[in-house]
Amino acid sequence: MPAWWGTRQNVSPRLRLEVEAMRAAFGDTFRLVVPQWAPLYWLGGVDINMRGIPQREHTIKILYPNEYPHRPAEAYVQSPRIYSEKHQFEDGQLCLFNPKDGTTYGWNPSTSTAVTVAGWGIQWIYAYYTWRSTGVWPGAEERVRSQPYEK
Amino acid sequence: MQTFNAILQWFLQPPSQNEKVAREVAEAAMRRVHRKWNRASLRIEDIGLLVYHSGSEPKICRVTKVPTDASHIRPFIVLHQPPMPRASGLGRLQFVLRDYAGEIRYRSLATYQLKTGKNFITSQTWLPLEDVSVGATWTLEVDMSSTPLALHAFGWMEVGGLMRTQFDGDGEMGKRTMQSMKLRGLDPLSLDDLLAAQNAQSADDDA
Repeated sequence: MPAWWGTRQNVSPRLRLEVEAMRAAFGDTFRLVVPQWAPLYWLGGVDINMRGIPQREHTIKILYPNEYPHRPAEAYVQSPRIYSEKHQFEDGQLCLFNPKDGTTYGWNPSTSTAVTVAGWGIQWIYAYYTWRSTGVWPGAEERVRSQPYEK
Repeated sequence: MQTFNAILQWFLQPPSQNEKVAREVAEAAMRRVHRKWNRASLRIEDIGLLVYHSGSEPKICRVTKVPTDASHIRPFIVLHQPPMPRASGLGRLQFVLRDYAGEIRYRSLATYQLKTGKNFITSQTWLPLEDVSVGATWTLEVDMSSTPLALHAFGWMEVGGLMRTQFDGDGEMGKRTMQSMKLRGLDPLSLDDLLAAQNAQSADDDA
């Protein structure tokens, strides 16, 4: 079965659109990394504009799973090391939405892009530091259960 | 992000992949005005734009598109001057930027003291991009004493603006974008071509 993103000789229209969308939204902040055998991912440095945090620059990874776009892109904070008992899976993946919200409020395979996930990921980081500082996670939340969704 | 000193350092480094790209771009720019790139004569070794975001150090755009969120741009060249014992070394250089319709959007004319070998020359003024409608491909013309020296073409990378309106604020595709995605399937594109801008930018950043 061919990869969702096509081949090195001929990329899929979906990947072209993903690249255009990321460039339009973030300029050259994110770079697309194409490992030889592993899934494609974006890597970018984002400054978090908050006081009192250990470091402002955060490296964010947005990974396309092999089943993309039927499975959503995954977001990770590569550096600094962040672990939250709330809204984060054990492998570090950020929990960004509840699949129960459906395609209107959560991931929609036909319209959502890596930009969507990157935006949610950045919001997550702000929420994380707010929670660390105040004990309150801003916005609606649902705790990660012992069996993460779709895992 | 490159500092201005880093850019100057780059010109002093031995040949690299980056320099190869610069030379190819420069040769093409000279060919467009029917000049041959010749080691024994006056030649351009690099040409492009220094792209600034307000207050930041510039980035070089040779083959990469200029991002539309830049605050201002300055043309530059690296001119190789062969030994000319009796000449004053003064060169009157003009940089002209024309938009897609051929209209002059920027002009800078100044006299530069040239030394034998490589001369990094940039205009003494710049073009602010605020409120400038950029459109499609622009050109950079370089003249020396009214003689065309090079013609370089460059494009623009939409950051925000029109391109972003194809996606909702949260990165969701609209109907129009999905339609264009289907049409693009008819026109093959390799991964290297898709990421050419990104890879060229990396080469600049690594220099």
